[in-house]
Amino acid sequence: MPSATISVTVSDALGSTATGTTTVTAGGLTTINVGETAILTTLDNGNGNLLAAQPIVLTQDGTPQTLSFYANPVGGQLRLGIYSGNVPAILQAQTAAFTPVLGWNTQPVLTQPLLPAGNYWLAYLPASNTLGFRKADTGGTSYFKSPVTFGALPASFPSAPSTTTSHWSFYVTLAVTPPPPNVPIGIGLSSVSVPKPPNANTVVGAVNVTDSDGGVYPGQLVLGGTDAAKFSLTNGGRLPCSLVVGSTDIPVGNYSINLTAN
Amino acid sequence: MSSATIVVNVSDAAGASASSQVVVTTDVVSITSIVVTPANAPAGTNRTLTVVATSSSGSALSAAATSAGITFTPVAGQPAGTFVWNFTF
Repeated sequence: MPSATISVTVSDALGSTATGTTTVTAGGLTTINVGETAILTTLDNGNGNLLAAQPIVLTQDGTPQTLSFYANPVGGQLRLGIYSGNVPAILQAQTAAFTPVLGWNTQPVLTQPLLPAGNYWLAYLPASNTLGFRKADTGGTSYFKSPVTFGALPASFPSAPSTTTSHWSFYVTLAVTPPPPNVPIGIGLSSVSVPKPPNANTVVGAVNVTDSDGGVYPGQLVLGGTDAAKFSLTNGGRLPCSLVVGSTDIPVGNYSINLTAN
Repeated sequence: MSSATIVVNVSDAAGASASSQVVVTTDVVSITSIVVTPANAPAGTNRTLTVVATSSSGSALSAAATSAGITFTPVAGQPAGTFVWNFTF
Protein backbone atom coordinates (compact mmCIF):
# COMPACT_ATOMS: atom_id res chain seq x y z
CA MET A 1 0.00 0.00 0.00
CA PRO A 2 1.34 3.47 -0.81
CA SER A 3 2.31 5.59 2.14
CA ALA A 4 3.90 8.93 2.83
CA THR A 5 5.83 10.34 5.76
CA ILE A 6 4.72 13.78 6.80
CA SER A 7 7.25 16.04 8.48
CA VAL A 8 6.21 18.98 10.64
CA THR A 9 8.61 21.65 11.80
CA VAL A 10 7.55 24.03 14.56
CA SER A 11 9.55 27.16 15.36
CA ASP A 12 9.20 29.85 17.94
CA ALA A 13 10.03 33.50 17.85
CA LEU A 14 13.34 32.90 19.62
CA GLY A 15 14.56 30.54 16.92
CA SER A 16 14.10 27.16 18.59
CA THR A 17 12.62 24.40 16.45
CA ALA A 18 11.20 20.91 16.84
CA THR A 19 10.42 18.38 14.12
CA GLY A 20 7.87 15.57 14.21
CA THR A 21 6.88 12.94 11.67
CA THR A 22 3.91 10.70 11.06
CA THR A 23 3.02 8.20 8.38
CA VAL A 24 -0.18 8.10 6.40
CA THR A 25 -1.22 5.07 4.37
CA ALA A 26 -3.47 4.96 1.35
CA GLY A 27 -5.08 2.04 -0.39
CA GLY A 28 -6.16 -1.36 0.80
CA LEU A 29 -9.61 0.09 1.19
CA THR A 30 -12.24 1.42 -1.13
CA THR A 31 -15.41 3.36 -0.48
CA ILE A 32 -19.04 2.55 -1.11
CA ASN A 33 -22.18 4.63 -0.72
CA VAL A 34 -25.13 3.07 1.07
CA GLY A 35 -28.52 4.71 1.31
CA GLU A 36 -30.48 7.00 -0.98
CA THR A 37 -28.06 8.65 -3.38
CA ALA A 38 -30.74 9.99 -5.72
CA ILE A 39 -32.25 13.45 -5.39
CA LEU A 40 -35.83 12.47 -4.66
CA THR A 41 -38.71 14.55 -5.99
CA THR A 42 -41.12 15.10 -3.12
CA LEU A 43 -40.43 18.24 -1.07
CA ASP A 44 -40.43 17.90 2.69
CA ASN A 45 -39.76 20.22 5.63
CA GLY A 46 -41.14 21.11 9.06
CA ASN A 47 -38.92 18.64 10.91
CA GLY A 48 -37.26 21.03 13.32
CA ASN A 49 -36.29 19.23 16.55
CA LEU A 50 -37.45 15.97 15.02
CA LEU A 51 -35.06 13.01 14.96
CA ALA A 52 -35.74 10.74 11.99
CA ALA A 53 -33.98 7.53 10.96
CA GLN A 54 -34.23 5.58 7.71
CA PRO A 55 -33.03 2.00 7.24
CA ILE A 56 -29.97 0.77 5.39
CA VAL A 57 -28.37 -2.66 5.17
CA LEU A 58 -24.62 -3.14 5.15
CA THR A 59 -23.78 -6.31 3.25
CA GLN A 60 -20.14 -6.13 4.33
CA ASP A 61 -18.16 -4.65 7.20
CA GLY A 62 -17.30 -0.99 6.75
CA THR A 63 -16.01 2.13 8.44
CA PRO A 64 -18.16 5.24 8.01
CA GLN A 65 -16.33 8.20 6.55
CA THR A 66 -18.97 10.78 5.75
CA LEU A 67 -22.72 11.30 5.79
CA SER A 68 -24.41 13.12 2.91
CA PHE A 69 -27.80 14.81 3.09
CA TYR A 70 -29.63 16.78 0.41
CA ALA A 71 -31.05 20.12 1.57
CA ASN A 72 -33.26 22.65 -0.23
CA PRO A 73 -34.22 25.21 0.99
CA VAL A 74 -31.81 25.75 3.85
CA GLY A 75 -32.40 27.10 7.34
CA GLY A 76 -30.83 26.41 10.72
CA GLN A 77 -28.34 23.74 11.58
CA LEU A 78 -28.34 19.99 11.13
CA ARG A 79 -26.77 16.93 12.69
CA LEU A 80 -26.45 13.52 11.03
CA GLY A 81 -25.73 10.11 12.52
CA ILE A 82 -25.93 6.33 12.27
CA TYR A 83 -27.81 4.05 14.63
CA SER A 84 -27.56 0.27 14.75
CA GLY A 85 -30.25 -2.29 15.45
CA ASN A 86 -33.21 -3.96 13.82
CA VAL A 87 -34.99 -0.77 14.85
CA PRO A 88 -32.89 2.37 15.45
CA ALA A 89 -31.26 1.74 18.82
CA ILE A 90 -27.59 2.50 19.52
CA LEU A 91 -25.74 5.52 18.14
CA GLN A 92 -22.63 4.43 16.26
CA ALA A 93 -21.36 7.68 14.78
CA GLN A 94 -22.44 11.24 14.15
CA THR A 95 -21.30 14.47 12.55
CA ALA A 96 -20.77 17.78 14.23
CA ALA A 97 -23.56 20.31 13.93
CA PHE A 98 -23.29 22.18 10.65
CA THR A 99 -25.16 24.77 8.66
CA PRO A 100 -26.44 23.12 5.48
CA VAL A 101 -25.94 24.64 2.06
CA LEU A 102 -28.23 24.13 -0.90
CA GLY A 103 -27.77 20.70 -2.43
CA TRP A 104 -25.79 17.77 -1.13
CA ASN A 105 -24.11 18.31 2.23
CA THR A 106 -21.29 15.86 2.97
CA GLN A 107 -19.94 15.91 6.49
CA PRO A 108 -17.26 13.75 8.16
CA VAL A 109 -18.28 11.61 11.08
CA LEU A 110 -16.58 12.47 14.34
CA THR A 111 -15.61 8.84 15.02
CA GLN A 112 -15.07 5.99 12.59
CA PRO A 113 -16.09 2.72 14.24
CA LEU A 114 -15.96 -0.52 12.30
CA LEU A 115 -19.58 -1.40 11.55
CA PRO A 116 -20.16 -5.13 11.03
CA ALA A 117 -22.51 -6.11 8.22
CA GLY A 118 -26.09 -5.75 9.40
CA ASN A 119 -29.00 -3.38 9.80
CA TYR A 120 -28.39 0.32 10.41
CA TRP A 121 -30.27 3.59 10.35
CA LEU A 122 -29.29 6.93 8.92
CA ALA A 123 -30.53 9.62 11.27
CA TYR A 124 -30.92 13.38 10.91
CA LEU A 125 -31.93 16.09 13.36
CA PRO A 126 -32.69 19.57 11.99
CA ALA A 127 -32.80 22.60 14.26
CA SER A 128 -35.36 24.48 12.19
CA ASN A 129 -38.66 23.77 10.47
CA THR A 130 -37.37 25.84 7.55
CA LEU A 131 -34.80 23.29 6.45
CA GLY A 132 -36.15 21.46 3.42
CA PHE A 133 -35.22 18.08 2.00
CA ARG A 134 -36.38 15.54 -0.55
CA LYS A 135 -38.25 12.35 0.19
CA ALA A 136 -40.10 9.42 -1.33
CA ASP A 137 -42.72 7.14 0.16
CA THR A 138 -41.56 3.70 -0.78
CA GLY A 139 -43.31 1.48 1.72
CA GLY A 140 -40.23 0.94 3.89
CA THR A 141 -40.37 1.89 7.53
CA SER A 142 -38.54 4.87 8.95
CA TYR A 143 -38.75 5.98 12.56
CA PHE A 144 -39.00 9.46 14.05
CA LYS A 145 -39.36 11.11 17.42
CA SER A 146 -40.41 14.65 18.22
CA PRO A 147 -39.54 16.81 19.98
CA VAL A 148 -35.84 16.10 20.36
CA THR A 149 -33.82 19.11 21.44
CA PHE A 150 -31.29 20.02 18.78
CA GLY A 151 -27.76 19.06 19.82
CA ALA A 152 -25.60 15.98 19.94
CA LEU A 153 -27.61 12.93 18.89
CA PRO A 154 -28.78 10.78 21.80
CA ALA A 155 -26.70 7.68 22.50
CA SER A 156 -29.89 5.61 22.38
CA PHE A 157 -32.70 6.34 19.95
CA PRO A 158 -35.64 7.78 21.90
CA SER A 159 -38.23 5.28 23.02
CA ALA A 160 -41.69 4.95 21.50
CA PRO A 161 -40.90 6.54 18.13
CA SER A 162 -43.49 6.95 15.40
CA THR A 163 -43.14 5.39 11.96
CA THR A 164 -43.42 6.66 8.40
CA THR A 165 -43.05 5.19 4.94
CA SER A 166 -40.85 8.11 3.91
CA HIS A 167 -37.16 8.05 3.31
CA TRP A 168 -34.94 10.95 2.31
CA SER A 169 -32.02 11.73 0.01
CA PHE A 170 -29.43 10.64 2.52
CA TYR A 171 -26.52 8.19 2.37
CA VAL A 172 -23.36 7.12 4.14
CA THR A 173 -19.94 6.64 2.57
CA LEU A 174 -18.00 3.77 4.10
CA ALA A 175 -14.46 2.51 3.68
CA VAL A 176 -14.54 -1.20 2.99
CA THR A 177 -12.02 -3.87 2.18
CA PRO A 178 -12.30 -4.62 -1.53
CA PRO A 179 -12.86 -8.24 -2.56
CA PRO A 180 -9.93 -10.13 -4.05
CA PRO A 181 -9.58 -9.54 -7.79
CA ASN A 182 -10.66 -11.87 -10.56
CA VAL A 183 -13.12 -13.92 -8.54
CA PRO A 184 -16.21 -14.86 -10.59
CA ILE A 185 -19.24 -13.82 -8.57
CA GLY A 186 -21.92 -14.29 -11.22
CA ILE A 187 -22.35 -16.20 -14.49
CA GLY A 188 -25.13 -15.74 -17.02
CA LEU A 189 -26.24 -16.05 -20.61
CA SER A 190 -27.71 -13.22 -22.64
CA SER A 191 -30.29 -15.62 -24.04
CA VAL A 192 -31.37 -19.16 -23.18
CA SER A 193 -33.45 -19.91 -26.23
CA VAL A 194 -32.73 -20.34 -29.92
CA PRO A 195 -35.11 -20.16 -32.86
CA LYS A 196 -36.18 -23.32 -34.57
CA PRO A 197 -34.47 -25.23 -35.93
CA PRO A 198 -31.51 -25.21 -33.55
CA ASN A 199 -29.00 -26.12 -36.19
CA ALA A 200 -25.33 -26.76 -35.62
CA ASN A 201 -23.29 -23.73 -34.62
CA THR A 202 -26.34 -21.60 -33.86
CA VAL A 203 -25.50 -19.05 -31.19
CA VAL A 204 -27.59 -19.46 -28.05
CA GLY A 205 -26.30 -16.42 -26.21
CA ALA A 206 -23.28 -14.50 -25.04
CA VAL A 207 -21.70 -15.64 -21.80
CA ASN A 208 -21.27 -12.96 -19.17
CA VAL A 209 -19.30 -13.19 -15.95
CA THR A 210 -19.40 -10.69 -13.12
CA ASP A 211 -15.87 -10.26 -11.83
CA SER A 212 -15.21 -9.33 -8.20
CA ASP A 213 -13.08 -6.33 -9.13
CA GLY A 214 -15.40 -5.08 -11.85
CA GLY A 215 -13.01 -5.93 -14.65
CA VAL A 216 -13.19 -8.53 -17.37
CA TYR A 217 -12.96 -12.00 -15.89
CA PRO A 218 -9.69 -13.43 -17.22
CA GLY A 219 -10.29 -17.10 -16.45
CA GLN A 220 -11.75 -19.91 -18.49
CA LEU A 221 -15.33 -21.15 -18.58
CA VAL A 222 -16.06 -24.83 -18.81
CA LEU A 223 -19.21 -26.40 -20.17
CA GLY A 224 -20.82 -29.19 -18.17
CA GLY A 225 -24.17 -30.71 -17.34
CA THR A 226 -26.41 -33.36 -18.84
CA ASP A 227 -26.40 -31.96 -22.37
CA ALA A 228 -22.94 -30.46 -22.47
CA ALA A 229 -21.94 -32.59 -25.42
CA LYS A 230 -24.59 -30.93 -27.59
CA PHE A 231 -23.12 -27.43 -27.15
CA SER A 232 -19.76 -25.71 -27.16
CA LEU A 233 -18.15 -22.43 -26.12
CA THR A 234 -16.46 -20.12 -28.57
CA ASN A 235 -13.04 -18.58 -27.96
CA GLY A 236 -11.96 -21.59 -25.96
CA GLY A 237 -14.24 -20.56 -23.13
CA ARG A 238 -12.49 -17.26 -22.49
CA LEU A 239 -14.35 -13.98 -22.57
CA PRO A 240 -15.77 -12.75 -24.82
CA CYS A 241 -17.40 -16.04 -25.69
CA SER A 242 -20.80 -17.45 -26.55
CA LEU A 243 -22.65 -20.68 -26.04
CA VAL A 244 -23.37 -22.28 -29.41
CA VAL A 245 -25.05 -25.44 -30.58
CA GLY A 246 -22.43 -28.07 -31.30
CA SER A 247 -21.40 -29.41 -34.64
CA THR A 248 -24.49 -31.61 -34.88
CA ASP A 249 -28.05 -30.38 -35.32
CA ILE A 250 -30.21 -31.06 -32.30
CA PRO A 251 -33.98 -31.56 -32.16
CA VAL A 252 -36.35 -29.07 -30.63
CA GLY A 253 -36.45 -29.51 -26.86
CA ASN A 254 -35.08 -28.37 -23.52
CA TYR A 255 -31.46 -28.97 -22.68
CA SER A 256 -29.57 -28.64 -19.42
CA ILE A 257 -26.03 -27.36 -19.27
CA ASN A 258 -23.80 -25.85 -16.59
CA LEU A 259 -21.26 -23.09 -16.98
CA THR A 260 -18.37 -23.08 -14.55
CA ALA A 261 -15.75 -20.37 -14.23
CA ASN A 262 -12.46 -21.77 -13.04
CA MET B 1 17.98 28.06 22.00
CA SER B 2 19.44 27.11 25.36
CA SER B 3 21.82 28.83 27.74
CA ALA B 4 23.08 28.81 31.31
CA THR B 5 23.09 31.48 33.90
CA ILE B 6 26.63 32.86 34.25
CA VAL B 7 27.99 34.51 37.37
CA VAL B 8 31.38 36.18 37.23
CA ASN B 9 32.96 37.06 40.50
CA VAL B 10 36.04 39.29 40.65
CA SER B 11 37.90 39.97 43.87
CA ASP B 12 41.17 41.59 44.82
CA ALA B 13 43.68 40.85 47.53
CA ALA B 14 42.03 43.33 49.83
CA GLY B 15 38.75 41.45 49.66
CA ALA B 16 36.89 43.87 47.48
CA SER B 17 34.77 42.16 44.87
CA ALA B 18 32.40 42.78 42.02
CA SER B 19 30.07 40.40 40.23
CA SER B 20 28.11 40.26 37.06
CA GLN B 21 25.23 37.93 36.26
CA VAL B 22 23.72 37.11 32.90
CA VAL B 23 20.36 35.32 32.68
CA VAL B 24 19.01 34.05 29.39
CA THR B 25 15.69 32.30 29.20
CA THR B 26 15.93 28.62 28.41
CA ASP B 27 13.75 28.00 25.38
CA VAL B 28 12.56 24.57 24.20
CA VAL B 29 9.97 23.86 21.52
CA SER B 30 8.13 20.53 21.83
CA ILE B 31 5.62 18.78 19.58
CA THR B 32 3.20 17.08 21.91
CA SER B 33 0.81 15.61 19.35
CA ILE B 34 0.80 14.94 15.62
CA VAL B 35 -2.24 13.08 14.23
CA VAL B 36 -3.57 12.32 10.76
CA THR B 37 -7.23 11.39 10.38
CA PRO B 38 -8.12 9.12 8.79
CA ALA B 39 -4.72 7.44 8.86
CA ASN B 40 -5.77 4.45 6.77
CA ALA B 41 -8.22 5.19 3.98
CA PRO B 42 -8.48 4.91 0.22
CA ALA B 43 -6.12 6.87 -1.97
CA GLY B 44 -7.47 10.33 -2.67
CA THR B 45 -9.17 10.67 0.70
CA ASN B 46 -9.39 14.14 2.21
CA ARG B 47 -7.51 14.10 5.49
CA THR B 48 -6.69 16.37 8.37
CA LEU B 49 -3.31 16.80 10.04
CA THR B 50 -3.45 18.19 13.55
CA VAL B 51 -0.30 19.20 15.43
CA VAL B 52 -0.05 20.56 18.95
CA ALA B 53 3.19 22.17 20.08
CA THR B 54 4.49 24.24 22.96
CA SER B 55 7.34 26.63 23.63
CA SER B 56 8.79 26.74 27.11
CA SER B 57 9.40 30.44 26.74
CA GLY B 58 5.82 31.06 25.74
CA SER B 59 6.90 32.84 22.58
CA ALA B 60 4.82 32.74 19.43
CA LEU B 61 4.96 29.51 17.38
CA SER B 62 4.83 28.92 13.67
CA ALA B 63 4.78 25.59 11.84
CA ALA B 64 5.02 24.02 8.42
CA ALA B 65 4.18 20.55 7.15
CA THR B 66 5.89 18.86 4.22
CA SER B 67 5.64 15.62 2.32
CA ALA B 68 6.62 14.87 -1.24
CA GLY B 69 3.77 15.38 -3.66
CA ILE B 70 1.27 16.51 -1.03
CA THR B 71 -0.11 20.01 -0.71
CA PHE B 72 -1.11 21.09 2.77
CA THR B 73 -3.77 23.74 3.21
CA PRO B 74 -3.64 25.45 6.61
CA VAL B 75 -6.88 25.77 8.53
CA ALA B 76 -7.06 29.12 10.26
CA GLY B 77 -8.55 29.95 13.60
CA GLN B 78 -6.74 27.36 15.73
CA PRO B 79 -5.90 27.82 19.42
CA ALA B 80 -2.35 28.94 20.27
CA GLY B 81 0.08 26.08 19.74
CA THR B 82 -2.33 24.07 17.57
CA PHE B 83 -1.90 23.75 13.81
CA VAL B 84 -4.34 22.09 11.43
CA TRP B 85 -3.93 21.37 7.74
CA ASN B 86 -6.15 19.72 5.18
CA PHE B 87 -4.58 17.57 2.51
CA THR B 88 -5.49 14.77 0.15
CA PHE B 89 -3.59 11.51 -0.09
